[in-house]
Amino acid sequence: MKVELENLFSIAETSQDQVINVYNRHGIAIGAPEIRKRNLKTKFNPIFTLNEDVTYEQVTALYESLEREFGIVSIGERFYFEFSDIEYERASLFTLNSTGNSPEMFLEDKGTLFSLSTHCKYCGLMDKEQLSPIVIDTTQMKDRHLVHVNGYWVASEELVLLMKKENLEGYELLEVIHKGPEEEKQLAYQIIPTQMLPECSKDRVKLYFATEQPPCNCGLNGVINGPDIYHHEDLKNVKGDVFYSADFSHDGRYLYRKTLFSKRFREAIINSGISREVRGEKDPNFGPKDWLFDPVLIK
Amino acid sequence: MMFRKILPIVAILFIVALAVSNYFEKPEVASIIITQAYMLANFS
Repeated sequence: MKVELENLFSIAETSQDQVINVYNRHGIAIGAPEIRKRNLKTKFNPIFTLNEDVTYEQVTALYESLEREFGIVSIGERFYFEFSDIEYERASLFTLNSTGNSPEMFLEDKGTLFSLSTHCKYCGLMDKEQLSPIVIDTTQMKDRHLVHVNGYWVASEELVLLMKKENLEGYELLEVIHKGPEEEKQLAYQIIPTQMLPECSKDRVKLYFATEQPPCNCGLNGVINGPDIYHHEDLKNVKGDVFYSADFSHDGRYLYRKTLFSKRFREAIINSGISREVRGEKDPNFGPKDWLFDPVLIK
Repeated sequence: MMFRKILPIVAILFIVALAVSNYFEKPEVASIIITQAYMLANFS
């Protein structure tokens, strides 16, 4: 697994070479970055790999130099996690990060009942407990098989039939409540895992944005978690196809538990033609209806 | 000739995991970065 960091900022075209020199001076080699010219300034988005040679501490020092020497204060940061083919092939579990590179994979919650409580009084992250079936306008699902609603996955009837046909196990279904036009409403089901995985390995990569507030002491807000990684021993007796993660994820306001899926589940989706196989965010196969599964790493 | 105002942008991505800083003004759940091409295609 490789961690890449992309920077994005604007500079005067005449400063490009000097900026590249600053990266090099901090020991960060960047190949010819893609530059988009716009008026007097140009967009500059170098990508480099973070590893033992380029640490995030170096990157922080780099940002200080860019600010001091060029007045660049607004730097966008984006992490990419890239996996090898072997990691895809060996993985028994996958996290599902997207069911299509399209805003239509997200559906608006139309009034699900939750009980809320404060999880962290410093950053304000809230725990939420679901008290009612999910309420959505199912006409908005159109021909999508799985949509994301506030941290939960909601499946079409067709997907549910496929899961049953493939004898996938480890979940319960809760029919959602439709709120919207009666015409073209459809049956849809929240997928509720019945098993929770053990905690992730402590070796999981944890990152933060050097350009933002430092992470909260709760260890959740402001922390960018790398891919899930488990000890082989911990997964030895795990059986089934759908699981909750023991580790919390959050959407900036509320905590939720991520759902993980088995290799069999991923293969069923690909073999049935619901999605093409996608390996990473940059894969050209990642279209509006293609599912992005990241392999769970085994230690 | 009319000039369009184009938002400063790089790529488009709709994923659940947050791995993009606030520079991109991410919404709550998705990481969404809109491409110039997308803007032109959809909002021009």
